[in-house]
Amino acid sequence: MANKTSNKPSSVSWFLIHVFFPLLPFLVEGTIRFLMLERSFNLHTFSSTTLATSITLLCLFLNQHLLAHNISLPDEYERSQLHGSATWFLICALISVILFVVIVLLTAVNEKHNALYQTEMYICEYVVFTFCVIPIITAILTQRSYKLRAMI
Amino acid sequence: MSNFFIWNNFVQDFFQQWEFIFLITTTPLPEGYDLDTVIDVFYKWETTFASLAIIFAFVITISAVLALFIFFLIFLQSKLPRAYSVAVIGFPKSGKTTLITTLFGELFAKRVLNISTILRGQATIQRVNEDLAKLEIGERIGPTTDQDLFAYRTDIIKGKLFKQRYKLEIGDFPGEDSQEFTEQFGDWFHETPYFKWAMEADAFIFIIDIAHLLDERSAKQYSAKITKAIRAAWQFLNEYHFEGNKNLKQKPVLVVFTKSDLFGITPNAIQEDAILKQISQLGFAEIPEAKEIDLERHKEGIAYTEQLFSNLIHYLNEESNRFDYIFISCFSYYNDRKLGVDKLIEKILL
Repeated sequence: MANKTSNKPSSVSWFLIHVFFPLLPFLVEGTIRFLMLERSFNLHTFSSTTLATSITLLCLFLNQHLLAHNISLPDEYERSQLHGSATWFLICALISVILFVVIVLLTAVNEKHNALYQTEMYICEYVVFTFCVIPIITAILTQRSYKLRAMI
Repeated sequence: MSNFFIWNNFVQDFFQQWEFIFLITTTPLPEGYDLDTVIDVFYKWETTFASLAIIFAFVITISAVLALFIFFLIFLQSKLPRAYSVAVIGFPKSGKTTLITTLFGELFAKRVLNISTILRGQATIQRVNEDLAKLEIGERIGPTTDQDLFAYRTDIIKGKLFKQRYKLEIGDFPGEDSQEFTEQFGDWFHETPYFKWAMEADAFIFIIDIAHLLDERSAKQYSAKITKAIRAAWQFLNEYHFEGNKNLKQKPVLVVFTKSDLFGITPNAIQEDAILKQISQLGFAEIPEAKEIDLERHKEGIAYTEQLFSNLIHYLNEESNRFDYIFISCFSYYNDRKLGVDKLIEKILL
């Protein structure tokens, strides 16, 4: 008989582990700054570097989960689709890492040379805040498409 | 703040360029105007025009971003459509593979409105077309074995203006697996592909073979056995579902009575013993000839079957919000359509 007391894989757990957990540092940091810094939203409330790191983690988690995902009834086509999605998340992770490096570099240069590349840094931050939507939406659609489940 | 400065610089640069173009293109000047006056007038307009231009540019940018976002979503949804799996549960030789193949045949024939089908993968395309060809030439589709474990994969596109795309997966398993699922359920069974597939399905089709009901002497025993098996299977499903009964209640559950054309051949008769025995033990010995259903005899058969399975029908009706039962024939027609197949598609997919 199926044991009702034991935990079973569920999509809610999957979201918590693969989407919410990687984004947690970014959300916690943003919330603390929002509460401490006059309760206003601006570019300094949320950190683009933390977000870039969170998105990298999210993408890598998804990449690994997809590569390890076991299809109940194996099919070559389905397997190739799965690998395609995994590669997409790997590309997103690489882009996130590159953006993270660029922003950190620009911040360091600005600190040393009195805000020399301030505008460029703002542009990069906007790119990160806009770009983060893509992996998150793709993650939700991927979960629905492959019925991904996880267990806490 | 930084945002504002970027915009302000941009607008100033923009109007300086306009001023230059204005200066080199407007010659000669009207009488009573010198160049300084013109520039003064231009600067007075600049503020108003700049505000309008900023609003216009803002609206255009927001619209472009929204449009891009919507196109991106549509593109992603076409690449990653929502999975929708259907578990077909039935005893050996009850006509599961034949039903699935017929279902695809009807979808290809576009007899169901606002649904288009795109088969996914070489394996599904090959399997469906081979089986359809077999049925068309009157050849039997052999029983599904452990080696034939297979999921039919296809994309279903619903609607015309606002299209919804689904990734439909129909698992075809040997009837023996279904029998074990309903009769010999045990802990070891949790690890089998069939169990995992069936438990996670979005819709359930329970297949009941009409052939066994034709013999009045054994019909009651058979209906009791099937009722017990399906009820047990449903209770296992209920127990397994983590979310509890509520979620399972919303999933489509169908009891499909296959080979319904047999009502027209031998409606609950006790004659032709040899034929009945062969049908009930082996399924169809050969593919029956496609013909129009005799409606009167079919109605009699439906009433007879409803009476036999009244307990099961009542039970599932109470248990599920989306329960229905359908009489299907993959070979006989009613109103130029294969009996019950379009209704099955509508119940499962629409």
